Amino acid sequence: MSETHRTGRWFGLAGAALIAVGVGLVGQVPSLVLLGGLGVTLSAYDRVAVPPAANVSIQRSITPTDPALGERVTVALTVRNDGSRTIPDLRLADGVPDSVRVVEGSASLGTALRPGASTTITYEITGGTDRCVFDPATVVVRDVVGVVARRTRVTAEPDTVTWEQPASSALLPLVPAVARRPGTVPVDEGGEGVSFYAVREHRSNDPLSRVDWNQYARTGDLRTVEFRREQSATVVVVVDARSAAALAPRPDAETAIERSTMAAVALVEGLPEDGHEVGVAAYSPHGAWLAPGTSAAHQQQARDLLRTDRAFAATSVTRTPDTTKLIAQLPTAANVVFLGPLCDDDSEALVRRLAASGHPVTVLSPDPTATDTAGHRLARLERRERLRRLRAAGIAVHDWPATEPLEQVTERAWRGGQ
Amino acid sequence: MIPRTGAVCGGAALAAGVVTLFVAGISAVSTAAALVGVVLLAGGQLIQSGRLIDGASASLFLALLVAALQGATTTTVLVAGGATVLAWTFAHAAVDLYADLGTAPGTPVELTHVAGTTGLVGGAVVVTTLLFQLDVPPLSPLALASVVLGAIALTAALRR
Repeated sequence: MSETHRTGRWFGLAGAALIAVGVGLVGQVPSLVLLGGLGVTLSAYDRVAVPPAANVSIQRSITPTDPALGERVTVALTVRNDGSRTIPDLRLADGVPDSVRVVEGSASLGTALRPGASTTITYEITGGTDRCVFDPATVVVRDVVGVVARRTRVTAEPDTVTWEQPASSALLPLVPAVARRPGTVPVDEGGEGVSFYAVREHRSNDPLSRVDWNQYARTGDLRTVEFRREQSATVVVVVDARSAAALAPRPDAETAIERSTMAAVALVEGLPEDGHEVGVAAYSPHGAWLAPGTSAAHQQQARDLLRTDRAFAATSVTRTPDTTKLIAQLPTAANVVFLGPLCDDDSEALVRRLAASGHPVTVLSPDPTATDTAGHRLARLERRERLRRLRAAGIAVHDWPATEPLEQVTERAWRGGQ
Repeated sequence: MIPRTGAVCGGAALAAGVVTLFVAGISAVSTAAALVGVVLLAGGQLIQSGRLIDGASASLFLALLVAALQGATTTTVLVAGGATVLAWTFAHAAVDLYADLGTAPGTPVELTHVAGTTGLVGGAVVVTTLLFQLDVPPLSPLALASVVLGAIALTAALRR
């Protein structure tokens, strides 16, 4: 289906012609009347012009066809004039999916095409986290002057690109909470476990395997080794996906929301392996919530939510999210892993509220700041100060520079650095 | 800075404006009006303002009217008129192309537009000039105006 419309480019030409004729009559100047004739001729063209037929075919090529997560994809779009008339003005905009960004080249083109001729544009996209479907390309053709246009949508094949998820999993050292089931979160309490905690006097019902036989051989005293007890936790991964978090150090770099979501997917993959129950929540005006769980189906549900729900995509809505509702949804004393750039006071306030509500909070903060301008440097300093204040409040905060992969940050976190 | 896309049309618009300035600038008033027109034309493209371009074209048209009233030849008036229409059209095309394509490549469209529109308007100017030079029974301005007004009425009746 194509629709034709007048662009109004020569709107007013007939009026100017009338003025010329009027002035020519009053001033007895034949040349002005003739000029009016020229205006009328051109106005007549404006009225009778028809746009060329938008008889074009478009072919899209996508390389690589199965990109890994974060990999750039090159899209080449070839448009061909299948009609028998020259198209003097063809403008094309590819239907790039909302969830990806064009980082190199342009997804638009303006050209003129003879019958049978074709031209190609190439551009690169990135930022997709799953299956992305291209919309049909929009094609607008005009006559040579541009007084009339025909708009149509042309489907190009292939129209799908799927970023393969390597299903990278990540683990973060979680902050100890009250004792619940045995698991991997160390608590400051001796008992069953794997890492040494203390040695105490032997009691008659202690298992023989925990008797410190070396000590017995040296001194003849029976003593029992205690290990650090570890427990599994209920974890809720909260992703800051507000417009205030859609920040990146460079226009073509990943935004903090994309990095946070990627880290959330990795945590959702990794944490259940250690027996933790993982839930997902969005700190976004759209809101999203998935209660903690450990099953494979639940894990898949969490992944789908993170990859496809609009609450985890950049939004233009600036409404403040309902933090009270967000906190009320969290299970009692659930571990919270907060993922956000912490570039504004609202996110800092939320982290403090979460901690104040009795939730052990771990913050993993993708750093979106840059140093190219004084303003950017100031924003960087403010963010560092915010991180420092949170650490001072006893919250585990892990800074994630834009140049570091997630694994490096988690490794550092396990080693105890921040 | 004029954005890269639209630069060809923008340059052509300025060139056409300068043609009007030189052709219609036969007196101080018409030169001043045309100069204002050219400056506004450049400004309109710099800030991507269609209204400023309309104002610039109106100023060029005013220069043309003044020149005609002060005795410019028929050829001068028609050439300046054609150049004014071209300056107006090209400047709008430059703004429009930049709005549509941004930094995307669009030079073929611009070259085709400049060549095609110049051909169309130039052809209309040449035909009108030749018609005037045919020494058929000379028409009084009133008769000529009647013909033009009749043509306007006919044009208005053309399909919209």
